[in-house]
Parts: sequence; C-alpha cells; structure tokens
Amino acid sequence: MDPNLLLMLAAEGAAAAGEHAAPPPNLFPDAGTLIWTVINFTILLWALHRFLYKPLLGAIATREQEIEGALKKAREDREEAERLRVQFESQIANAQREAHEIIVKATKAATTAKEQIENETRVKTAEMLENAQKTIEREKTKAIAELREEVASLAIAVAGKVIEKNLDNAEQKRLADRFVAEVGKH
Amino acid sequence: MTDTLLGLGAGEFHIHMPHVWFLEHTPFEISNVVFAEWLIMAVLIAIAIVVNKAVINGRFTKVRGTLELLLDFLEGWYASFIGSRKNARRFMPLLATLFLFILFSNYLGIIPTVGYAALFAPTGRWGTTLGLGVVVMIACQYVAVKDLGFVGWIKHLLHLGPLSILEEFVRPFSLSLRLFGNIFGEETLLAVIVFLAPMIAPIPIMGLSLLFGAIQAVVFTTLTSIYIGGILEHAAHAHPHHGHDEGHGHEVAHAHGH
Repeated sequence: MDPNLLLMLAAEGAAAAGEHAAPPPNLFPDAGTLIWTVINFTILLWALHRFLYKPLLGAIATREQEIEGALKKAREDREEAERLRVQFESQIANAQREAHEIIVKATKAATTAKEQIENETRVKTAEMLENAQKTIEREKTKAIAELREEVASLAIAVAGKVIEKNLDNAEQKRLADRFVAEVGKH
Repeated sequence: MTDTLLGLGAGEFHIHMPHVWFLEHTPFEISNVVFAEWLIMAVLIAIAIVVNKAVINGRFTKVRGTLELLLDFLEGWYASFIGSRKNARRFMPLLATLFLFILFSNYLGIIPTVGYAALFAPTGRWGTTLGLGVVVMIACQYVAVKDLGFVGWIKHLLHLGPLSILEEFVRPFSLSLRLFGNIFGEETLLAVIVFLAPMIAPIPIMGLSLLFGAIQAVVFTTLTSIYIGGILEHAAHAHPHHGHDEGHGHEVAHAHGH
C-alpha cells in the first residue's frame, strides 16, 4: 500500500472522525521511540550477554573442547591398544618359539640321556657278566685245586694205611702228585 | 482510543498508531511501542535466565537445546559473511540480540491486536528500527576504531572520500526503512484482511508473516554482519598479523550506548 495514500486516507479519516480530531498518523520516527529503543536494546544486549550468550556459548565452547579432548584421547587409546596388541603378539610369538625350543631341547636331552643310560647299562652288564665268569672260573679253579689237595691227602692216608709203610715226606709228596696226575687224567 | 481511524467503508478499520502514555512531549515519551519493547525484553530476559539456570545446573532442557541450536545455526550463518566462526562468535552477542529482538518484535505484530493497542510490533514503527540502525552504526564505528585504530578508522571512513562517510550515515536508514516498511506493510495487510474477512482469511497471511518476520530478522542481522565483515577485512589488510583470528570474546557486547 502506498504510504502517501495511507497518509491521505488517514487524514481524511481523522477529518471524518469529527470533533475529537486525532492528529494524522505520523509514520516518521519519533524521538521517544528512537531513544528508548537505543536504551532498551543496550540493556537487553547487556542482559542477554550476561545470562544467555556468556553461559551458553561458554558451555558450547567447553563442550567442543571436551569432545575434542575425548576424540584425541580415543585416538591415543586406540594407538596405545594397537601398540600393546603388537607387543603382546610378539611376546606370544616369542613364548611359542621359546616353548618350542624348550621342547626340542628336552627331547634331545632325553634322547641323549636314554642313549647314555643304555650304553652305560650295556657296558655295566658286560662288565658284570665278565666279572661273574671270571669269578666262576676262579672259584672253579680253586675248587679243583682244593679237591686235588683233598684227594691227595685222602690218597696218601689210604695208601699209607694200605701199604703201612712209612714214607718220608718227599716220597709222600711225589707219590701223591703222581696219583693226582693220574686222577686228573680220568 | 486514539487509534487513527481510516475512512474505509463503514469507518471501522483500525491501523494502530503509537499512543503516548507518559512523559508526553519529552524526548523520553513512553508509548505503547516502548511498552511492547519492554514486554519483549522481559520475555527474552526471562528465557535467558531460565537458560542460565539450566547451564549452571548442567542440565539440558528443551529451551536450552533450542537456543543452542539457534545460536549455532546463526553463528555458522554469520560466519560466512564475517569471515570465520571465531569472528562470528565475537560478534554473536550483538547479532543474536538484534536477531532475537527483531524476531520477537515482528511476531508480536502477528498476534491479532484488534482493540489491544499494547501489542504493537515495535519494528512496525520507524522510530524503533532507526534506533536499531543507529545501534548498528555506532557498533560498526566502535569495531572500526578498535580494530583499525583511530587513524585507521579515519582512513576507513575516507577511503572513498565523502561518499564513504555518506554511506555510513545512509546505512542506518536503509536498514531501518527496509525492516520498518516490511513489518508495517505486513501489519497493514493483516489489518485490512482482518477488516475484510475476520475469521479464516487472515490465517494464511499470519503463516506468511511468521516466515517473513524471521526472514526480515535474518536480513537485518546479515547486513549488519556484512558491514562488520567489511571492517574486519579492512583490518586484516591493514594489519596482516592480527584481525581475522583475534577472538576478543565479548568486547563488542558493550560497544553501544556508551
């Protein structure tokens, strides 16, 4: 709507209203509204700054920082976790390798020990067998010698009794030896 | 009732004109427009205190969430004209207060006011919008002095000779006339429609007014941010070391009225 037309209409309306003729509408700025607007706006600006923007924008800024911090921490944590994972994996690999080495070593040691023990046993068995044979041989020889002695004295006693003849010791010994030799031939 | 009667038809058509209540004929006349401004201030400050309480208590209420979203959106919007979000945040108190004040003021005019002269859209009066324009002009000069220095400010004022001084003085008029004309026209249209068909017909116009009220608030503050952005750009060229990335927080908040 054309403001001039409006003004004109308004003026006519005022005229038509008759006795309590209101002033024509003034569309131009009045000092009161202008000055009050500046004052009011300044007060509103102060109040909203104090009660709205400062706390709210402050809270937003704090939250932004918190989120940024949390993201940074999450990133760091993930890197740390990755680092630990790699470390643990290498540790597990090391442990497995060591375990394997230990098993191999133990197996080797056991095999060596087994062979050693077998060898020792074989040697000892052979020694014992040999010793036993020697002992048997020795005992046999000894028994034979004793038997001979016994047989010789028995023969001398029997011969002495039979021929009742006193023989000197040398003669006895000779006789006995001959006897034993003869006995040994049979 | 001192509302002016327009001689349309039966003579019942009202265009609400300001009605001075106190201190008549002084520079501090208190009219229903000033009263409406106080009403808007009271509502906005009440909301601010509620939000402040929520922030202090560390609670996320709907009001707080809504305002956070709104401020975040506005900050992003103004950042595209001011240069960076950091700079936009520096001027948020001025820009957001302008936005909220103009938005609430525009919406006050949509509420059917037939017979209730107190509920008058303050932005439908040139006095109000010119006051806001003057605030923006003073704020711009303050920012210019602050960021460019006194000599820089004079240089800035004279960079196109007298024309740029003229520009500074024209800006409040262009800002205020645009807003006033839109809202006054809207109110008048609404009044005419209400006069012609009081029941259903005004509803679509009211819906449109919701949209236009928000658009006008955005336009006014966007132009303000463009003016400030121009000064900051000037400052960035004058002192390449500081300027765009200096976040002086709330200095600008007290730029006006002093």
